[in-house]
Amino acid sequence: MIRAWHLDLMMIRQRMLLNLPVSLALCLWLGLQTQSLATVVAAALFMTYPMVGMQLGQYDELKGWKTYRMTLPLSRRDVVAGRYLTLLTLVIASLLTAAVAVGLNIGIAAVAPGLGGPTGMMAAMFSADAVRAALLVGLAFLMVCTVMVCAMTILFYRFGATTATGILPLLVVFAVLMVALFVGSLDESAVAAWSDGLLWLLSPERLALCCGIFAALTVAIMAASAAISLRIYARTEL
Amino acid sequence: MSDPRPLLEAHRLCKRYGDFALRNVDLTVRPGEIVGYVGRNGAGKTTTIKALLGLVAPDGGEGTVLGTPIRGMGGADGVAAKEQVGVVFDTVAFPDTLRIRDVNGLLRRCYRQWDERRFAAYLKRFGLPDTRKVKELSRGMGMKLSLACALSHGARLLILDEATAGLDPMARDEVLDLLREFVADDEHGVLMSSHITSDLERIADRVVCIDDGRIVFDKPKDEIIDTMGVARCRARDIDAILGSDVFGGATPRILHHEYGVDLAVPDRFAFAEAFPDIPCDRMTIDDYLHFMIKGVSR
Repeated sequence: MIRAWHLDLMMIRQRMLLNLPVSLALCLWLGLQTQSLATVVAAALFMTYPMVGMQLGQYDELKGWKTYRMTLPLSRRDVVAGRYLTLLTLVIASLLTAAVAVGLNIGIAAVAPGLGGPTGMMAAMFSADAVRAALLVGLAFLMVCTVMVCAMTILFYRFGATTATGILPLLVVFAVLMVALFVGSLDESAVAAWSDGLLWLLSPERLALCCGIFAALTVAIMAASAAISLRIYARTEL
Repeated sequence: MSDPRPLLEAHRLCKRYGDFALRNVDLTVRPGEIVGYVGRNGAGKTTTIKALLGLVAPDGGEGTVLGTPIRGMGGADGVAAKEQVGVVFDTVAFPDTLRIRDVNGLLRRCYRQWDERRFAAYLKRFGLPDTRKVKELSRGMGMKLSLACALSHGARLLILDEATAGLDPMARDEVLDLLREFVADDEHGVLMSSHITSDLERIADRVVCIDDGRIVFDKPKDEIIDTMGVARCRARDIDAILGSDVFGGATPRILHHEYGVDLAVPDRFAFAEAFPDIPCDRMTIDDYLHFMIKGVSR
């Protein structure tokens, strides 16, 4: 599994070298604009996890790689397990990007005027409500991204790189952006209702319950996806 | 004492794809052997190789690679076998953005017995700078890289699918020398599928021909090129020749041309003694392929 994981990382290395700085820049800007930990976490997750994860299957189809890979000392189980470990790596990379962005936000707040200084930035980002919101939004977003990424992974194992599997990730990203724009265009009453709802959720008991549900669902979706992918890949002709 | 068991064997291998089918393919590579696997485009060479490596599931038949059943090559058992198998396909599969030194890093993590020094030595021998990106390699250089990878992890068996295609004559000479060195200790073997039959004439021990999914012949190379011959006859000579005992009971293969008839004779020296006025040339693998695929029996 580790060998397959290394191979995947090597395949996406160039893509990650482009993706991570762009993700960091976006998170940095969003952090300065909103001073919201939840926004930074969601953006970091979205920019790396599904943006790279949904297209991992395309690398397999390049230049006969998926055929050659199975002549290396790997089993089909290793290949699939390695792929899901790569997806987990993307999640960790996203969260690290968010952490670095937040750190840089605090540093920038120390030198740039009008941001409330490092203390103000930290107070905004790390207040009790802000941390709870980040946890809730982060886990919810992680679950949604996991659904997208795992569905695409199964589709790639089943159908390979086709026109449909090439376009589908773009459509998904477009749909998410449309949702974000829609939410951003809501009027004050809708935003107030949304905020009230969020505050209701942020009580410790309900927060723990929701986070637990999101985390469990994320793990379950990933595990189910891995099982389905393995079943498909075990029979795939290369 | 070396292990006499075959490094690779397939017995009655079958695989169907739509209107093409591999039918009862038997193939063996023993230690110390280079087996040439020839056939027309679409004859089934690559399908055979993929079935042996567990890349496709055969519909029938059995086989082993280094003792591991071919149906288990995709599983945990196959991992150990693949540590000792080097494979070269006709395209370089590594990502274009990788440099050659990155390929070293990649394979070092895959193979337990990856030998970096040996890899570096092959790169030097082939004139491949390790700073070069894969996308900057010509086809021939890419083949050399693939070969260097296949030879640098202690493989006992090499499987080459059109590996010498695209190489210039000097580079092919180098590669053929390497393959000869590889099998010299009688512990290693090579299965080499190729259209370049002149390469096989130089290094193969046996030649196996497949056509339309079936094995047409499996013969020692020396028997074909050192003993057999092509008798260039006129149509009126055929009856006299076929009535003689130069064929030793074997069924003769005949190729009809506009200008005459070619006959495959099992022993060109005996033929020359019996029919000194009829030209009889040395048989090449190409000639024998033509006879067996396009020729007729009489």
